[in-house]
Amino acid sequence: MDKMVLKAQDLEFGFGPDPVLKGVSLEVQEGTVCAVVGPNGSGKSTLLRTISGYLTPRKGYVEVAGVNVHQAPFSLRSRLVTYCGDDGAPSFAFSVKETVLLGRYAGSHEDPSVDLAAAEQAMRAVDVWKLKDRAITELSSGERQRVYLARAICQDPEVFLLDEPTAHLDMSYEIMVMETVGRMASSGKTFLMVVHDLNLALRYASKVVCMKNGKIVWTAAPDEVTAEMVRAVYGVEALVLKHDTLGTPMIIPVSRSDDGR
Amino acid sequence: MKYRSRQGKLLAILLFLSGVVLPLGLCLGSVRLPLGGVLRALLSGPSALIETEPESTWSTIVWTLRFPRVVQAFVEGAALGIAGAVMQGLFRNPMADPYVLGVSSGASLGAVLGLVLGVGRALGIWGLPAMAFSGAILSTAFVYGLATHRGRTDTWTLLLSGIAVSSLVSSAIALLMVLFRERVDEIVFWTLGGLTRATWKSVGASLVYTVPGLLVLWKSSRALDAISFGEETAFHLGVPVQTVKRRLLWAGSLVTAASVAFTGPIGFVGLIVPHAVRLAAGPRHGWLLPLSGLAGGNVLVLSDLLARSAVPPREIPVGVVTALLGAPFFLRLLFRARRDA
Repeated sequence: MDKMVLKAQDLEFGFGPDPVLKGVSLEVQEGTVCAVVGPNGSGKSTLLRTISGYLTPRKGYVEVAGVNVHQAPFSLRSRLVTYCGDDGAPSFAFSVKETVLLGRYAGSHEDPSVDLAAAEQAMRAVDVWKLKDRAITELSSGERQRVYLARAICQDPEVFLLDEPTAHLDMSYEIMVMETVGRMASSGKTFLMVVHDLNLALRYASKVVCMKNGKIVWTAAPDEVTAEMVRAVYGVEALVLKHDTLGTPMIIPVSRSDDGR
Repeated sequence: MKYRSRQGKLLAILLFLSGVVLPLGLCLGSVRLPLGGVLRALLSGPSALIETEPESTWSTIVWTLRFPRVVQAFVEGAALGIAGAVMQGLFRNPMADPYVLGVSSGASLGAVLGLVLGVGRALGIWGLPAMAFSGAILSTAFVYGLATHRGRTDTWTLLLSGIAVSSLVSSAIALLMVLFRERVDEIVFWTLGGLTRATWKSVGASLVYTVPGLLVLWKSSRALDAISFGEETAFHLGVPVQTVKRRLLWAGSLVTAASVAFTGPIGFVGLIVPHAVRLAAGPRHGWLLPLSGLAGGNVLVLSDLLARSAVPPREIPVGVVTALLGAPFFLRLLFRARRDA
């Protein structure tokens, strides 16, 4: 049951001489949601892009289901792990359906109707089925974000690396996407995601990893997070409460603390 | 927006257009031939002994002059359309094409050098093409090398080095024109392009290079779809991006070089055709490449028709025609894009 499907060991990465990741080790249990939080520029996205195999670390390694992602063949890797962030403005007017179907690039089935069914299911999961024939160049950034999420779901890897999956979403879609993530996790998929909203992380993740200056400063279960830990990382005085009905911890930022960061 | 029906419709239109344009290319020219006569000449074969006049002359005109010329125009137009579509998808930039990237000018310089050094005459029909290939491959390798750092190629650096190499090569050709005054007329062919040299032999020689190149390009169309979303996204989807990119650049250069070798550099077909096809039928490369091929073939046959029949008995270089037709069309697209933005 306690299988660690994702294991990152002592990762060091840098674009130039100064390292962005300074020895990051991390394990995520199969079928769970792990949130990565931390101030801007702390190396959260770089961590995800290194774990995905795209950035090659100077030191350390990443294993997904026992496979070293930086040495795995392309098609095997893409069935084990994917990264979903912001693609930026699309250059060409692919339809939403064509975009989502690209998730099957490496794992396409002999029978195209299987791929189509997977794409439809993924589109329905994040409510973009109704947009299926629209061109992605015509969509709002929130709609586009859900389309890219649907493409990742359609790809169906074991581990999802989501970089701020709710950044452009409204309140309602935020809940929808997080509930989809939760449902997929209980069916065995594993999520590591960068989240800015601490409350979102505390409510939906079972483990919160906090980064600062390229290092993990603390790892905690949601109900272990204290005002002290928030101040240490963000330099913000906050109230940590327990939500009356949800029972989940809640953080209310109050002010910047005097000593700053 | 339903792309599937739009793709089918465009395919039908282009096939119909080919059915009109190709016979037109055989009938029209400095001497106008009746369609019936052309058809009879076609049906009786290239080596039929025809005693009666003017049928005998018609047969000669059709089989030795116009038919190979029309076929060559179609093949090279198709090659340019497809190569342009590939370059635009690869660099996620509708301004990219083999000309912008310096592939064509490299091929021209290779051919001109072959001409003034006499290599062309030594090797016969394979001489100039071989030189053009070397030029295209060298300039591609040079441009690609300039833009590649630690195994990754930056798109903008690639486009900029392409433009820089292009203008460098153009000045080199201009210099050769000054140094070899007596060969200016021949050198001009490699700066403007034309189909005056088309023979069955040159059609065959071109196909030997073009067909395998186009097959490689077409086989990569799904990877191109993924790359259209950015190289990092394609990587996460499982596309071996750097390998695919290298393969597409080499095959694209081969196809472009084949076209330059036999018809000189012809601009705007590779830029405009894929652009227009994408607007009409969507960006999926599995459709975009064959449709751009068909459209490019038709466009070049039509342009050549204009080139040889607009101001008889003179012939305009076909590159001039495509530029005259293409540039305003391109500006229109630019204006529309700006209005929509």
